[in-house]
Amino acid sequence: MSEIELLKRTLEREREARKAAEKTLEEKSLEIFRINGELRELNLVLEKMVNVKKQESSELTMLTEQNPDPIIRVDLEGNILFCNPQAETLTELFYKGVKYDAADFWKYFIEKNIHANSQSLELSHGAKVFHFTWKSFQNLGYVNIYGKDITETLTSSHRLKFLIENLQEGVLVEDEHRDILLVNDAFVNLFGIPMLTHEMIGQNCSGYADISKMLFKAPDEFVVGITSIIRDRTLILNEELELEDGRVFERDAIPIFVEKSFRGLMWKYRDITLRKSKERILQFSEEKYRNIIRNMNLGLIEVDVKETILYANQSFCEMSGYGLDEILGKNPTQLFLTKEMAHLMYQKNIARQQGISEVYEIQARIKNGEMRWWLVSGAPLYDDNGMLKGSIGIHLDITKQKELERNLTIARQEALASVKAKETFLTNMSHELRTPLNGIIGLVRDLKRSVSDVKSLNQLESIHSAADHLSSILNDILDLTKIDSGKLQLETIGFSIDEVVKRSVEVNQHKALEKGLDLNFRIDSEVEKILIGDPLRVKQILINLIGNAIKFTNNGYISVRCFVKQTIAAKQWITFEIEDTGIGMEKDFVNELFEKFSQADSSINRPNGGIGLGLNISKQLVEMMQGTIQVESVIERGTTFSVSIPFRIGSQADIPVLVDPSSSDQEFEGITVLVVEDNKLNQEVARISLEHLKVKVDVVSHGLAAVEKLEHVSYDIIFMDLQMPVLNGYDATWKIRNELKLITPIVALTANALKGEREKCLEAGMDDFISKPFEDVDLIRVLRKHVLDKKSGSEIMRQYYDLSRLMKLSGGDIAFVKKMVGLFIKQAELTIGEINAALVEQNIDAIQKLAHKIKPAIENMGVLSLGAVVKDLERPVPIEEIDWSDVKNKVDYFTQRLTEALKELHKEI
Amino acid sequence: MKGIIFTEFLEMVESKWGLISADAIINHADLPNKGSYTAVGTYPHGEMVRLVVALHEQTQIPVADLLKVFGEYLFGALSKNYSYMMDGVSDSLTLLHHIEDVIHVEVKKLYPDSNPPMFDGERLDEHTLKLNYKSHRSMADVAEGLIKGCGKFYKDDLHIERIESNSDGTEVSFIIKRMNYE
Repeated sequence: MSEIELLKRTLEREREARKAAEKTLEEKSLEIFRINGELRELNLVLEKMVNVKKQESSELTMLTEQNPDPIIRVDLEGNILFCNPQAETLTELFYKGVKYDAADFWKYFIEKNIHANSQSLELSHGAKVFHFTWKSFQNLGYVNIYGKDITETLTSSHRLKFLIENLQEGVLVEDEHRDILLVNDAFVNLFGIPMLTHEMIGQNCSGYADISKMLFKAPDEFVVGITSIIRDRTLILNEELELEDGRVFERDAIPIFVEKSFRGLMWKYRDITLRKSKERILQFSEEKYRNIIRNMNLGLIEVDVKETILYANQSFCEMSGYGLDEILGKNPTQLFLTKEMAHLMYQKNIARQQGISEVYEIQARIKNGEMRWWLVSGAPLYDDNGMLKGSIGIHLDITKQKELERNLTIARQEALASVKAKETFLTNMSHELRTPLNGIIGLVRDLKRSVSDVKSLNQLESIHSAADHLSSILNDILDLTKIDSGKLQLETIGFSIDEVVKRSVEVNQHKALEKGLDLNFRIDSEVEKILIGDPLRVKQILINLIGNAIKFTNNGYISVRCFVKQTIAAKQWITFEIEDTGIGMEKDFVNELFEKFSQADSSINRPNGGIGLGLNISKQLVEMMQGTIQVESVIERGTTFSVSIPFRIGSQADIPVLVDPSSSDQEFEGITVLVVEDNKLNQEVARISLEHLKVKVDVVSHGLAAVEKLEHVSYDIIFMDLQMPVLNGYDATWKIRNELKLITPIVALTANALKGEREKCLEAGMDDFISKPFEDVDLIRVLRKHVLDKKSGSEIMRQYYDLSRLMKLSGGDIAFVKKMVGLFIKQAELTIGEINAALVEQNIDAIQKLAHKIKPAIENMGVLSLGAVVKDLERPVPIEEIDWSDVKNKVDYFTQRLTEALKELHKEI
Repeated sequence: MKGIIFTEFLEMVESKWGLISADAIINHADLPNKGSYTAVGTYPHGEMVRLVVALHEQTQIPVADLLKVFGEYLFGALSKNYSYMMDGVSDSLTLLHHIEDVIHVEVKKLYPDSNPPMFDGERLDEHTLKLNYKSHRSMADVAEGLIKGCGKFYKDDLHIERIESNSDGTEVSFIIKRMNYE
């Protein structure tokens, strides 16, 4: 056998084997495919079956869950495996309030009952009773427990018995033969029957009424009552029976019928003694409050939440004019209120709902159509449960008060308006009067300066005096107005009482002399030299009192005394006594003395009567100064006024530097002034006064003219009236300051000397204030303050000397003047050296002598800047009072100014 | 009988006696499919008998010895092809004990029409197993060879006592002792 054949065979075998294997594999694959298909079908069938089972199972679960009775499955240990909702509630029901886990409860249930081999169990909770049975599946390891609510199925007798035994009421049930079926302890106790309840059952109770009747107040009625109930077999409820011992019973008699045939009676007795007594107390107290409410003078209504009137008392009916029957059930808002008031009421009702009580006023229309104001106190009303059930309102008719109040308000407004009107009137009047008066006085003053004829001078003096008097009356009126409106302000400056008293006396002296009276004064040495207060006002008081004294005294004297009443700390109470030997006053008159216009009493003819404002002003001024004023008067003997005022003690430093009223002719020379004034007379007065001071004056008639003028011309100072046509002083000032941007000093000229005026002027941008009628001294003051002081070191200083006086003296001889200047230069240069040497040596005598020696020359040369300092230096001062640093300052100043002047004077030669 | 038995038998013949002997035996056995066996096929038991007889005539080695050698060889082959069936088994006695309830269950799953011999195991003690062979094919010799192969596979020194339960060789018991632990 060849090897090739062998291999061929082997190969053939292998091929055959492969084919066989492939065939087998194919067969196997087909088989698997087929089996797979079968499996899939099988799966579908299985799935369907499972779903059906699931459905069945869930339906079964629902069956148990929807079962109205509890079903529980527990394992043999007592653990709950399943429990339908009813059972869940039940476990909670049974042990509600006891902290007992539901599962634990069932464990307990199983141990106690299932393991103890009993077959069923009843458990009750409150009114519910449950019956439980169970089936054990030992092999499955659980027990099914089935409960049933048997509350309803319990026998009625069972329940009845239970109920009756536990009742607080006494109950007895008898059958149709009057044999006792049931009786409870309460019954036995109420009637005090000496038997136990179970002993009584079965006994006949026909004789009971007779035995018990003695307990009752009306024993026979009691028996008759029972007899008739038994006979009539009618239901009688809540019948009250009074007992001898004071108790009160309430009885129900309930006949029992079973299928229309009478089967007995149930008697129920309740002890209502306590309730009755409470009711009586309540009734009494209610009666009491009802009476109070009914009879009180305040109208009371009660409304429910819908605002319907439930109750109204008699007073309310009377207030509103309606009868009670007309009010009840009505809505008070609709019945009484106007639209606006209804809106208010709506808000009030909301407040009630929020539990807010309040008092308010409403206007109501009562039955007869009249409008009334009611003061209402409204409060919410709650029921026993704290729910809002309405509100209660107590009403008081305040119509009269309201009217009164309204009238008062009107009266007050009118009074205020009239006061205001008076004030305005007085202010305006004083202004109107003062403006011409100012002119008269100014012109008279000027005339006096130029007239030399004695007769004319006397007449002018009279005019001046009369005008001054008018002016003082005006001042009085203005003062009063100021005081009344609180616009008067007192000054607090240092002053000398001596001066004030002296001056006050001096002013009146000529009047006293005219009447041949002796006017004297005395000032105690204890009075401090310098006190702090308002000297002008003190002077005003004194002048007034002294003036009065002179007026009412025809013979004798007027004596003014000033002494210290008391010194407390840094204050002196100063008393001024003005004693006269005049006509005196009646007591009644003294009492009214300080009243305004008291002199309007025309019964006394007064030769020198003013209009009687002085005393009133004095009193008010004294009071403003915290002082007192008193009068003692005896008819035909005389009167003494005492004024006591406290003043703070002051020192030299408190005295303001007074304006030197004297001015040299040259002081204001060259100064240019613009006067803005509408009144022609006043324009003249201002012009004359200012020109008298050698000031160059321009006058315009109103603010606008001033503004226009100032656009082209510049002035050193402007005097500005306030009330002018076209453009008033305030607005003109505003324009000057803000539009022209000028800083020229502006001084207000006004007759309105009221407090606040000054502030108003300053606010408008003015610099100072002069009250009309002004004096020369006022002009001097403002010119110095606002022009010279500001110019010092500039224009004025350029005028180091003034040779006009020398020229006058020499009668215009220039050669003489030059000679004098030359001499002055020599003397001055010498003096400068000597005075400085004396300063080094501190030789005050030498300094004084040098100053004294050069003074006339300095005046002749018109070196104005040195006038004051030379005067100071020449004045002798005691050695011990010398302040060398002060002296040095003065000498330095003297030296510097004189040197400057000499430098300029050299040019004159 | 499963094809794997035939393919493994012919493999053994080829490897032990050469391709020529294998060819001769196949020719001599006069088989219906001329010896083209596949492991996935199933063939009549008689063909195996014819092949074994042919080998015996060729080699003059007693049939019983041939079958024992084949059984031992067969275990090696099976353990290679079906190693997953032996997962988790770490000694020979455990494997032998569970032939019936583990291995043959798996065989039946793979080849529902197969009819493997029954091997009922009975543990006599920790190191002794009684294995009852039962098959209409009367091939206890192959079984004995398989047992030996198993011992070799697990490197267990097995002592095998053979008890013939009947005369036709369809039921044989083996008392197998594991010696390497004594």
